[in-house]
Amino acid sequence: MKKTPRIAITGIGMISPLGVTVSANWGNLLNGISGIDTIQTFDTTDCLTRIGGQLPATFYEIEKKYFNRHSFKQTVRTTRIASLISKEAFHDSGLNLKTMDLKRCGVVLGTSGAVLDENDSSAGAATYRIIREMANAPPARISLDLGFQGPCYTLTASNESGACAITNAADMIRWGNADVVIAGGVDALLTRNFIHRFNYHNLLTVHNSHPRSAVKPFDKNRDGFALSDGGCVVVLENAEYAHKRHARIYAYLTGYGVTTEQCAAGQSHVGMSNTMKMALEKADISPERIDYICASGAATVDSDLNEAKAIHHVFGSHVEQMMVSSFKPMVGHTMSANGAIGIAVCALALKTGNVPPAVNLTNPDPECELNFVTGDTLQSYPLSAVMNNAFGFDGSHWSMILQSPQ
Amino acid sequence: MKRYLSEQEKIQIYEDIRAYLAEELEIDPEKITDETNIIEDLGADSILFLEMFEEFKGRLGIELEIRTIGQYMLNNPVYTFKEITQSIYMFVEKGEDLIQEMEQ
Repeated sequence: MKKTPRIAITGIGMISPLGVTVSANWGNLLNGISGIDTIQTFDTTDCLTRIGGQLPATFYEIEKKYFNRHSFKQTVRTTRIASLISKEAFHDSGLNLKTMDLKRCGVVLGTSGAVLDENDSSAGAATYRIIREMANAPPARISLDLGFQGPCYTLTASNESGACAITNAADMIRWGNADVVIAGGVDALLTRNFIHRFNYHNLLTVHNSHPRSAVKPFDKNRDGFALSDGGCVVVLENAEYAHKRHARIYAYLTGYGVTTEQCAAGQSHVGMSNTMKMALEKADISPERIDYICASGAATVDSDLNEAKAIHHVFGSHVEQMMVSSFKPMVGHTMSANGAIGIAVCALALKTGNVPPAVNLTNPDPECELNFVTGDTLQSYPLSAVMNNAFGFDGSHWSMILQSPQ
Repeated sequence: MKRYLSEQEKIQIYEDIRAYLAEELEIDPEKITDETNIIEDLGADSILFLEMFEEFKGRLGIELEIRTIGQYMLNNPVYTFKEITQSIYMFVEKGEDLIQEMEQ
């Protein structure tokens, strides 16, 4: 019987309010720098929330440099972000298009697909409406850029579409349908319209006067997340394939759990516990071996409380040793990119031994007590296994376990 | 109705198409020669051809629907810059007569 392949992460690409490269993002994350700021790109007068994670000015320069007038007309921003991060991830992986069987290479991307805009009057909007706005435009563009001929599609699962895409891509390799898959998530939903929608559900912070310290996961004064634009992809490979070409491996994706719950609040600690337990079981690893959790930490009152409760339930007394932090105070909530950024953080943590600090935690909520990573200084930890939680506010939950190649 | 293009008009159209492609693809017009393969050498795509024909249909008063041009292109694909310019001369000169030719 053929052995089930292990899944290696060999490349990462990321664009977020913290930067347009993985190294810029990682540097800012480790230093606890927040990319949340007062929104300048549109009028927020009638919005309760007037802060968010806007892409840095350098993004617009790069976008202009890499997309000629014709390509620009054929794409919307999400597709352009997807294209740029995939190029970075592919380059980072050290893969060589000339020596690859392109029929064995796929793309799976998570996106909300929320780019339909009848009033869009930008260049190309009318002529290219279908190819600009189709839900699978971002992965299609990546396939076009790289010439990949394997499976190529979009998955959507609310704000955890990126996690959904990465786990599906891992299964694609496990089933033997591909050797290499670029997978992740992208969204550009920082718009007046989406702020209104999220404000209606009280999901966004209204700490408008202090944007950088506004998002406070697990803090007594938390009041929601900040909406951000961004994208992140990883290159997943059949580990055997990666070993053969002597690739640099960040981490192995050894297991994941996925559940959905239908409680009135959208999510509960029971659903979150079940998801983490499933991930541990699939990875065949005991809770005591997890060194760090990249928490969902959405900074909404209920979500953080439920996540903390669930972590206590699953990990018991190990919570005293196991480090926890969330990147949302710095990056914001990038929706579909969120789960993918979590995977990138975990992979980089395993590779470097550093984890991002839990920032904006000035008044820790005693009901959410965990071993949070504190201090703004870099610190090296010997990490061998980590967990990434991506818990959707609609009750779609993913937990993923990554282990060090060492 | 048939129309005949003078050599002077053809030269003007040739330069206009070259300028159009250079602007869309953000390249130096000098890089486009008769033998340039627009897709392989310049990284364009077939949709650019249709957009270009639509643009020049308006500019030159070509009496053909863009759908007809698309159908013609499917059966008579063009690759090089010279082939593109020749097609546009033909669309201008033949106009609706091209439909009858295609039906035969």
